[in-house]
Amino acid sequence: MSAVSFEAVSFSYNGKAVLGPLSLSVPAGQTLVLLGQSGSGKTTALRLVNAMLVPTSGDVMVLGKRVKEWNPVALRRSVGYMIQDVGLFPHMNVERNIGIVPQLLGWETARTAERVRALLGLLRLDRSLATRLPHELSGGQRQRVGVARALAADPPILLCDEPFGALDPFTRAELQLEFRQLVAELEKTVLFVTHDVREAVHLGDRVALLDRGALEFSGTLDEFQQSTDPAVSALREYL
Amino acid sequence: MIEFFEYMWATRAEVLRHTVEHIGLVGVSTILAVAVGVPLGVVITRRARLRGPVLGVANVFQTIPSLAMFGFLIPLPFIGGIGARSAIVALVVYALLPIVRNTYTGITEVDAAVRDAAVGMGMTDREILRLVELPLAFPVMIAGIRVATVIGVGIATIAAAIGAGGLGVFIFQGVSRVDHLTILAGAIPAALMALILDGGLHLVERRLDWRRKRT
Amino acid sequence: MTSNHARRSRLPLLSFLTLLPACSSADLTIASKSFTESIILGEIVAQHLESKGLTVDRKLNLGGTFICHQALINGQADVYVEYTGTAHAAILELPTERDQAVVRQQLDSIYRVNWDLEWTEPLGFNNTFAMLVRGADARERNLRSYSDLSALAHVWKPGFGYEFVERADGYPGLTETYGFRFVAAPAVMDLGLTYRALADGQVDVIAGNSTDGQIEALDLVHLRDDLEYFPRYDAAPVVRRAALDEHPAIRAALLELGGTIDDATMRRLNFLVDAERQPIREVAAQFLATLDGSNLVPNR
Repeated sequence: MSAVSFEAVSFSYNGKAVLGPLSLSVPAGQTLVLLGQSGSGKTTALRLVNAMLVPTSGDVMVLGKRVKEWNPVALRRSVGYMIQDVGLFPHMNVERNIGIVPQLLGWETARTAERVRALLGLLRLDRSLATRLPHELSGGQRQRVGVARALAADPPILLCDEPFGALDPFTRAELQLEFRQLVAELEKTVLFVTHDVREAVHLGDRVALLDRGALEFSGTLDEFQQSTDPAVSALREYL
Repeated sequence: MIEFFEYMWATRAEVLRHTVEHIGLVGVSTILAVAVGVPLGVVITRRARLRGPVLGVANVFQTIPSLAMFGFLIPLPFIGGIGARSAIVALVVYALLPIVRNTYTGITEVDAAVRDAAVGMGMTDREILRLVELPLAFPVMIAGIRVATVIGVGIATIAAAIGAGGLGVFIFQGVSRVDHLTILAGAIPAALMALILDGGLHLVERRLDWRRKRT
Repeated sequence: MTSNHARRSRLPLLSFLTLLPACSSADLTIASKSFTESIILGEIVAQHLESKGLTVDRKLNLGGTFICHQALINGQADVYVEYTGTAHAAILELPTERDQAVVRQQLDSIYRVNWDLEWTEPLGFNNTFAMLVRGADARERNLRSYSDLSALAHVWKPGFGYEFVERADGYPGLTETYGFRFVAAPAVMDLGLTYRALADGQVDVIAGNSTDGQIEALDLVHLRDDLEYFPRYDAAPVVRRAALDEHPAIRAALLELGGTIDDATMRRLNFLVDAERQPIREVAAQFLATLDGSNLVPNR
């Protein structure tokens, strides 16, 4: 069963077609990488999943239900969301940042605190960081907090928009590896947007290649590696 | 100088009474201006179409001469008449602009990525405002309130023109007596009050600034 | 709101006078203080003298009492309209004197001896403090004089300007003379706003100026000062005697103006300028036109 699927979804903005029609599905527990250059529509596709954007036509299905039938707030609280600039709340310390979605969901304080401690451990963040403000952290630490925050309420689905884009290559490789292990272990369904072919190959179970709003290629990682599609093979040059 | 202190000492009961009245006028009007101005500032971040009219009206309010405003207020029921009510209404009207404008600016200056993350994690508009935008806008808003308060201390001297008391009484009396000491008995406490409030609110502004907070 | 005799500024503004040109090609120079009524009077005097074939320089809106007075002493102006009460208290610094004949005699002699200036015929009105009430109240309760007020004081609320409350010859002396016991302490506020507060029923009696243009406009009534508590502030042109000697026509012309402006007329002229924003030159010209030949006969 697919956790997320796009059914002939298109999106236009100010009368200009940005995406689609796109048909694509992500099986539960797998990581789909949306690969493409800027302007390819990959971020748009991601934002259609948590109702930050509304499709012009077609339907996005999340957990078997049309997005338009979801209450957007409830939908977003069941889907983890990570973006490139992290978007950590600068006035909240690490603990509060991680615990924000549980707080919104009305968890008890003790349960939230327990969850935050567990996530700090999971993301290999030192406990002493819990009371730091985001600007007192390194870039890699901030991004770990971002991952922890997205995982806080244990959502079945994670949406990631180039979350590691701003990190130095070293930290980035380390986080990619951990992230891959983590989502596999937690059996999360992940939609991961990137323009980096290597990142796609590291993280993806499946790869979808978008070009100017159209789906150029979609398949498993193996199919991507072996595809004779000229666009795909051109990309493999970067590996 | 000695003459001034002697005069202040001789009239200390009156100086104290009018100072208390003055603080009351500034305090009540600033609280009301915040109660009106902050929601207005928030509303215009949500309804772009109201922004021009609201800021425009607040701007025009500031240019109304106080005596003209009092003349207009005297016949109004509930908010007008002679005495403290009209004075407070006028002071609120003058204080609105910096409060509305800084609330609006503070909120719109919140980093787009932060707002995006808040929406994306499923915060309602109200939660975004309460948990993210207002706390982040707070230093800018307090700066606006500080400006409004300091200006208010000066403007509140005109309350004496409508029988509402305050330190302006000394200034009006002094002008009619052509007596500089009496004018100074109003002007100097008012200036000190403005300095103290400015410094105090500056401390509050720093205390509540998340960028300086360490726990 | 016109200011009035009440202005007693002693600020050292006299140095401004040195900026004024000392001599002029005109026959004489007319000054006025810086408020509507004084400017209107200066203009009336100027136009009337011009109608007698004299050439006139106008230095209207010159400043306060002391500046105008100093201008005459220095010969930088020849005529301005002053109020007897103001000159008596502010320039001569004499204690309040309620007998107008005594005041006039003191003014005449001291001005002549000290400064070679002459007080000419009073114009006719008395711009003094005026206890004002709403017209409706005055008609309903048949109020005519200040004494009639004392019966109502215990239920009435007064509203006064700061100066009136401050001055010994204002509120304190008034209550003493007439035995007023008002129900509440006076609401002390801006003088101009007391008119609105009275018209709107927020207060019941105010101390305005007897020649204020707003009195008729707001249907207010000026009660009679039956115990003659307030000193008189009769307006009269003050002239340099040197100018009178040089142009004898001036004396005759000013005599013609004597007694032609009563309180009601002065209120109307102030109203036309302040409330209706009519140009002062036209208001003055229209007023002079009403004084056709028959009116311009010396009245004494």
